[in-house]
Amino acid sequence: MANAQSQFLRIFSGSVTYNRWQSYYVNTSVSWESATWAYQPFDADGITAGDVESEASINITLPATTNVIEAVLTALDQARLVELRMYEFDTLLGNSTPQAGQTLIATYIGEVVNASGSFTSITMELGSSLSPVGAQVPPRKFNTRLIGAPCKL
Amino acid sequence: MSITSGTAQQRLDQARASLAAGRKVLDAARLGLSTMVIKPLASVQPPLVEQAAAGSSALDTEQRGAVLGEVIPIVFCRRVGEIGGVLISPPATEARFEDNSLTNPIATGDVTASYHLVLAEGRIDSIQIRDVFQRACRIGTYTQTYDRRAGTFVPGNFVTNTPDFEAPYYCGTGGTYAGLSTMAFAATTPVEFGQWNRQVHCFVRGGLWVTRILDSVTGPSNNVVDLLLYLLKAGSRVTTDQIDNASFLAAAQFTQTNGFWYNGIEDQSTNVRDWMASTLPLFLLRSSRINGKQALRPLLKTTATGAIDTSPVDFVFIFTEEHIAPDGFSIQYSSLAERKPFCVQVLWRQQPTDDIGLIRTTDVRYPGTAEDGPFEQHDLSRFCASENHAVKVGTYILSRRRHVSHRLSLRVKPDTFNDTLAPGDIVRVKLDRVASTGASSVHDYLYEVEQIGKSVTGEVQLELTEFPVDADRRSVVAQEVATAVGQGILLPTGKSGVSCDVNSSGNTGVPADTAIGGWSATGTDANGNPYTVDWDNGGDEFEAGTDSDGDGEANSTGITALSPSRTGWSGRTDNPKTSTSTPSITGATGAGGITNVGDELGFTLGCEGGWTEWRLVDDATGQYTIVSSGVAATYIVAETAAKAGKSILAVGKCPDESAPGGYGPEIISAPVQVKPPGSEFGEGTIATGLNSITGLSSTFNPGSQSQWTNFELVSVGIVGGFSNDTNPLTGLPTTFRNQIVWNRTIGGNPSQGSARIFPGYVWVTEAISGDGSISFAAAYDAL
Repeated sequence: MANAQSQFLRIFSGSVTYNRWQSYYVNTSVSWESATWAYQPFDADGITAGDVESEASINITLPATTNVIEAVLTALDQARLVELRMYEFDTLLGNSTPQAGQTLIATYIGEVVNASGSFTSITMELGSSLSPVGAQVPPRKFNTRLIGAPCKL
Repeated sequence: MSITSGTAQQRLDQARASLAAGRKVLDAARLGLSTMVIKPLASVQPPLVEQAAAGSSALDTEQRGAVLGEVIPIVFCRRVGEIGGVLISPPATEARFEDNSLTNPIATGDVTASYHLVLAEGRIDSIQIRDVFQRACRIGTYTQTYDRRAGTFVPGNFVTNTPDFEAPYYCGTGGTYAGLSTMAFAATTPVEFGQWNRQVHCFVRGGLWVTRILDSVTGPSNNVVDLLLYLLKAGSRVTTDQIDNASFLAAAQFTQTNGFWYNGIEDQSTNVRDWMASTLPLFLLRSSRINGKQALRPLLKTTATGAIDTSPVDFVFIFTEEHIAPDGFSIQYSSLAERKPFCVQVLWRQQPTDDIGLIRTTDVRYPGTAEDGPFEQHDLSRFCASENHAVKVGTYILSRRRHVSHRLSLRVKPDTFNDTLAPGDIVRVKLDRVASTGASSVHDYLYEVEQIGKSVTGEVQLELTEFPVDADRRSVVAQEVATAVGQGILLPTGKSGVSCDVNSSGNTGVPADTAIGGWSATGTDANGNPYTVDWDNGGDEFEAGTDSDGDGEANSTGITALSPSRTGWSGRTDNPKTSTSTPSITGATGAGGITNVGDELGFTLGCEGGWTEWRLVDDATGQYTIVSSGVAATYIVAETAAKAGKSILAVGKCPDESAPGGYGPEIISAPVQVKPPGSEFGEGTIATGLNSITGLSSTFNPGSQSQWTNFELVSVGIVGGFSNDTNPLTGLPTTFRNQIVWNRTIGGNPSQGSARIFPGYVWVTEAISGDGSISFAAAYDAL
């Protein structure tokens, strides 16, 4: 038995999927779950589950090609979701296409909350839009439209 | 990890959590998992600041006015049975003060004070007559509505007949009140009682309407999970795709089953993460992540119905030596401070059904311990109206602190647990400790999985907390919390004296909803144009600005969203270059940079103390004569230079102490030509055999320097050319003749070409064309 892990990445919003990428099967598109996943080299952090403060985020680094930059920035701009899946499988049973029985060991769904990188690579941070500074509750404040000029008592 | 806004206590809690997280990150980095950030584990943290109960309400105070920018409170409660509801003290946005008049026939000396109050964000249940107070008295009349302005009174100060009584003059204008629950309250009292300006209080039995997660009914809720969902969706715009509904539903069931209800007001601006971190543990819940989604988990094992599970627990996996990676075992024991017996003092709110509530404290301690302290105060009075809730939370804090002795960090190799283990699962860690001397021992404990970190290398980082169990493998903490029940004693409110109530404490009626259908205001803009601010019943947007279309209503140009372009720009594609040109000679007054006699020429080097040398250069031989030199020297063009037909060059040097001569390399200007004195330039005709020039144009554009140092004869149809030998003028030097270069042939005659012009001489032609003239590009007058 020789275990290996593959990663599949999907950028979507609602029922619409914009990108399906996988980084394991080099230079080939593979079929998995009734969809085609194009080869796109990327590197993802580990996935942490059960975090207390819900601050866990993961970073996915991709080459800064035109298509990737377009996809990442659009996802960032439109608050699209990204699903990262990690599969584990036995390479002795096949290493050219995803195996039907491969095990899903981790899944992460997050918004593209940030993007940065170098000239040659771009890293998108997946997490929750619960900004440490922006997500204030209660959400609304008294304003002129709501209450006009309030009385001075 | 960042410290965010919040109360001082929250910031301190965060700072402590940040430090703990930082230590764990370092540990993880040592273990080769530098990309994995380990967070602090869930628990109810002891407060660093203990203060008065947050749920307490002062009754006899002045009516508070709303302030722009102040948060609109969320009133979240639902009275079920004898538990729940919350007393609010809403701010006023409009007011009206009126004594006896034709429109207000009240007794002389009385005053009617009307207040328009904002009760809460969103729609809340109708408030019963028995639940509206001014000070501590059930008096006055009111009407309540939603999404519009309640009542019909016109705000203002209409006190005209009461001497020595002064009411506020700025009485408010009103607005849309969109999405707000509002109330118009009025009470008439004698002026001398001084009660006209007292705070209005309302006991809300049903707060913000939401779609309850447990029964999908829209209405008030007391489930903290419903409140969190509202805050996440309405306040923070978290999409439903990022919320783990199953865990939220289970958490809601847990709080409902165990009576952990939320009956409170959220009126302090708080980051939602801070709110979750500080509030959820007090409902024995913890915020979590499942597959990246926001999730909730009870702090205790639960049954399918949400009850605290006190049955024997089973573990899902056993970790032994074969699973642990090298150096993958790290244990952290509880400190001495955490092990000392103490008493948890919980603040909560007792809420009678027909009276104003009171704050209660409940002491939770193990028998015979901490009778005199130390006390650790946890304030649940902001939202907790149940003694059992307070007691169970206190018990959990106490029990966990007493029984959980250590935490474990494990780095393990992947195994079959990889796809099954989840946070909250119970695992067993059984390791043999074989010593070279003495007896061997076994580390054999049950743990609850707090965190699972999965890396691409396959190794898994586990954060485990001891799960103390009894001999029957039943959770000790769960048993203690499940059996902890409050005494159930309801204290009297302490209210005494002659009742000031006018309305009955048993009146559960609700006044009719009376409201204004819309509101507008008129005024004059900065340009003197009339405008109308139109707030139609909370539906229209506020239009502000000048009345550009003259319809009497103000218009706003607003913001037009433009589409930025990041590609395809026209224009230059390079950056400005650093100038490499040498300084030029300044001071030439002639057209095209030609100097005239008398011009004072300068040469700006761009350095202080620069040395300048002026040279007259023979263009034919390149030889030069220095005519002036010195620091910042100038040169006044002399007539001799003009007659000599020489160019002028400036050679400058900037000071350089490191150079042998004290100056840096030479900076040589472009040459400038000297205009011959009295000369004219232009196109013209030289008549046959004459030494005069006619037809000179009044303007001459040299275009470039060469055009006047080497004039090209551009005549057509001429025969022959210049002949120096037949120059009718005397004194034409041979050198001059030799300067003529015949290098161009027109019409088969080799006598056309360029000639160098020298000042002081007249050119004539020897052979001319049939019309007796020759066209030329330039000439000059004799001196």
